[in-house]
Amino acid sequence: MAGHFERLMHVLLTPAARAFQKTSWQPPADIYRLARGWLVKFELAGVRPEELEVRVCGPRLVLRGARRDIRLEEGQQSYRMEIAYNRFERVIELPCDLEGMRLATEYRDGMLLVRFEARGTLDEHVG
Amino acid sequence: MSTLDEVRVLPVLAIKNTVLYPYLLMPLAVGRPMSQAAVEAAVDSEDKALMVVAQRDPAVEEPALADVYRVGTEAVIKRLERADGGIQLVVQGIRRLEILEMEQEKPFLRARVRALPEPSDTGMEVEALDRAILALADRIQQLAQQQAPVPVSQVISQVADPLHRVYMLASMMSLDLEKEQSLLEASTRLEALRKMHDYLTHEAQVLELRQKITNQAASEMSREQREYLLRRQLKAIQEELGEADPEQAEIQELRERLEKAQLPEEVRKEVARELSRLERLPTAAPDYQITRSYLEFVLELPWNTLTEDNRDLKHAREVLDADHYNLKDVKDRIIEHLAVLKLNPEAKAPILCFVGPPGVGKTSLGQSIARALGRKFERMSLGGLHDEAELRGHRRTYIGAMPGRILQAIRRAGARNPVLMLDEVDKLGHDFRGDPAAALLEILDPAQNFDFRDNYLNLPFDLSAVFFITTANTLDAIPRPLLDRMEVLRLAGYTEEEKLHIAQRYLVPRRLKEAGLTPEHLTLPEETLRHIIARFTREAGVRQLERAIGQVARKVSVRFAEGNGQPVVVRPDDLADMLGPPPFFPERARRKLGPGVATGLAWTETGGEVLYVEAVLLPEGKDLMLTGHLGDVMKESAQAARSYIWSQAAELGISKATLHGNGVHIHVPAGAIPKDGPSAGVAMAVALASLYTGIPVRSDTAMTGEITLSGLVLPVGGIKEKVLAARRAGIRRVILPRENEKDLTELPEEVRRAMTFRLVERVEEALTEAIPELGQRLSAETAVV
Repeated sequence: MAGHFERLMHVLLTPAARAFQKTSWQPPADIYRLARGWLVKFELAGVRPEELEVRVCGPRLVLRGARRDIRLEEGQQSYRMEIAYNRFERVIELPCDLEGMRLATEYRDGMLLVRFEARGTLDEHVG
Repeated sequence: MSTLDEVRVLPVLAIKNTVLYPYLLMPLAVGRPMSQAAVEAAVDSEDKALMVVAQRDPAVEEPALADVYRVGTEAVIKRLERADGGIQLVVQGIRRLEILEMEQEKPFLRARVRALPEPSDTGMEVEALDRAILALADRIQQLAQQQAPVPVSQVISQVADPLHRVYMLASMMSLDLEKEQSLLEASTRLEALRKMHDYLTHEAQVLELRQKITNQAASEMSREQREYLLRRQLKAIQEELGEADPEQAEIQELRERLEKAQLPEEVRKEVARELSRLERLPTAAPDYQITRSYLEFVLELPWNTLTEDNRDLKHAREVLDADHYNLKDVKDRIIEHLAVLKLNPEAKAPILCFVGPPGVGKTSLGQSIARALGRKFERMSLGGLHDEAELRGHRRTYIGAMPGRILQAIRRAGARNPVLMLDEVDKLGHDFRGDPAAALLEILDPAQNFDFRDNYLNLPFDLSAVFFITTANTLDAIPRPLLDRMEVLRLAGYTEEEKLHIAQRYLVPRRLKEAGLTPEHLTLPEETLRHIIARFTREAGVRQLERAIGQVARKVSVRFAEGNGQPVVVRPDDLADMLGPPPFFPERARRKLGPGVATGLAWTETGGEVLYVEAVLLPEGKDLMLTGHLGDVMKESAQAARSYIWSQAAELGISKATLHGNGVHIHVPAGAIPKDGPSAGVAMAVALASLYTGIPVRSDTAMTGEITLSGLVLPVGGIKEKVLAARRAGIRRVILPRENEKDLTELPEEVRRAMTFRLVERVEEALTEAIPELGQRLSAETAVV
């Protein structure tokens, strides 16, 4: 019963959204308001650009992809692991229709920058 | 991106006792080398993915394909930390996988796996089950007394998909591994929800039951503890007061009595069992007193105590003669029985039934028998007894239950073979509470009563050695089957002669003694006694007579006590002073009877009586009017008599005008006394014949007998009492049915000599005897025919 109780408390004290995820991880994101649009910054260190997929759907920005680990040394043994790998998915909803805006992506220092500028109407794939 | 059909190769981590569901996080401690190797392989890969699958038997250390379930979950390692030679993991479930085949089993499991589709069926039932599951989850949370800040259902309902809710709930509940696995394997939502619903229902029931048991145990515990505490205190107080433990002393005493008592084996066992039960009972328990009284009763019963019979026939006859005058038949029967007992001690005691009017000595005869036999005597009256349980006792389960009267009497007697007198057996009642006569059947049947079971005692008791005597005033009221079991001895009423003897021999000496006098003080000559019998008493027995003698004796003893005592001889003339004016006048026959009056004879429980049947014509009337508190049988008897006389009108010389022009009124005084029975038939026919013909009936003739419409005279009962009543009234001639001739032998010799009896077979003969003139007419008629 003790284990049962612990598990129950764990669930009760963890917001359901966090205890219950559809993908293994989600990258954190910062969102900025610009004079003529929006800037969304994802922390995506170690993700290869070819593994990324950005899609716009109405007011939503959908970012999907996967972080795959690389072997740095032969005979290495994992002692501690905190970085999340494998697939991720992040959906950002903004208070305006994004499909009518121009989209530009830039990958700098492990950060993915996604800019939306008014007048743009293109969907673009990065990489 | 991997699709559903894609077959991949993944390391397999077997876990014990639990199942990882998709979308859920789970911390794991990995200790087994094999599992660690699988984890290493996964961490080394770029996706950190592996398959987590439950192991069928947690005892297996190095599981192979057969030891794990086929369906498991794809998981990604989110965190890893090494500590104390083991690996701490947090894994995240992704989706369900199915093992296709094992690629390697050493050094760790590696399998070719394929993803299983996620169930997504919908419908009413899914929705209904989903809601029911949420409600059940709350109920279980309540029962488990988890003081959670919010109900489980609220947390769970943040998850949108019903199936995901099931996964989440399953991870929270402590379900069996098999149940958890079956939820994972469910290929539709409906299946998973149904299963979950079943499990939760079961879980809720178990928890409810557990709670009930816990509550019960708690309350029982506290009551017992309280009782124990109080008992200890009581003991301490008793010791302080210097009182020995009274209940122990009581039980000890009962135990000693049990050892001394001579009990049959079955009884001894039962008593020992009850006794040990008593020891375990607290004194305050209601059962304690009940059981104690029961044990005392059982130990007091004379199970094997018998009194020695006095089989000296001479002694017995002396005792009987000393106590009772005459009653030859009864005494002979008792002597016979004694003789049989002397030759065969095993002989069954007879069951006697004394029948006779009150005061003839039935009860005292029972006492004499006991004295003659040297047995204990007990009597009980059955009069008005209407509850079978009075005889047979109440079962001990009833509050206030008591043994039946039979066993109580035996206990009082203190021997198993007393003379037990059951008085007034003809006055047994019966109603919805049961029929005591039925219980008597068993008690009085020698074939059954050796194994008599009283409801209270609930053990067989042998009544076969008991000498039963019943008494009754009349046989009519005794149920047939009961009567069959008894030997009936009649004690008819006494004649004046017998009463005189009884008074001289028994009553006067007894009453003198009671009044403190001797025969020198008071003499009651024969003529005085006769006067008392005739003028101060009217009875078949001798009770009034004895009371009157007692009254005389007391008056005399007053004179002696006052000091002016001279020996007294009481003369008939003195009686009025001592007893008051005589209440009865000699029943003189009416000197002269008018037409329409006949002298009948009646039998009552108190002896015989003379009664007159009076008939008058009602001019212009039509009907037959009957008065005098007559019963149905007597009324019908009157109608039969009238019909017979009408049918013989021509022979009797009665005119049709008389018959048709007049009604008839028949009255039988005294009007306040109820009368019934067919024996007045002859008297009625004679009265009517006399009325219609205008010829009076002979005034010195009394009559009795039942008649039929064809003119036969049938026999009746109570001949002795009736004849004695006629004699008391000074009538010397009695008309009787011929078939009653045999009863005349019961009469004392002097009565038979003094009376004339006319035995008749037909009504015509009775008419001839009663109204001689009519006889001449009838014989003339016969001659003509």
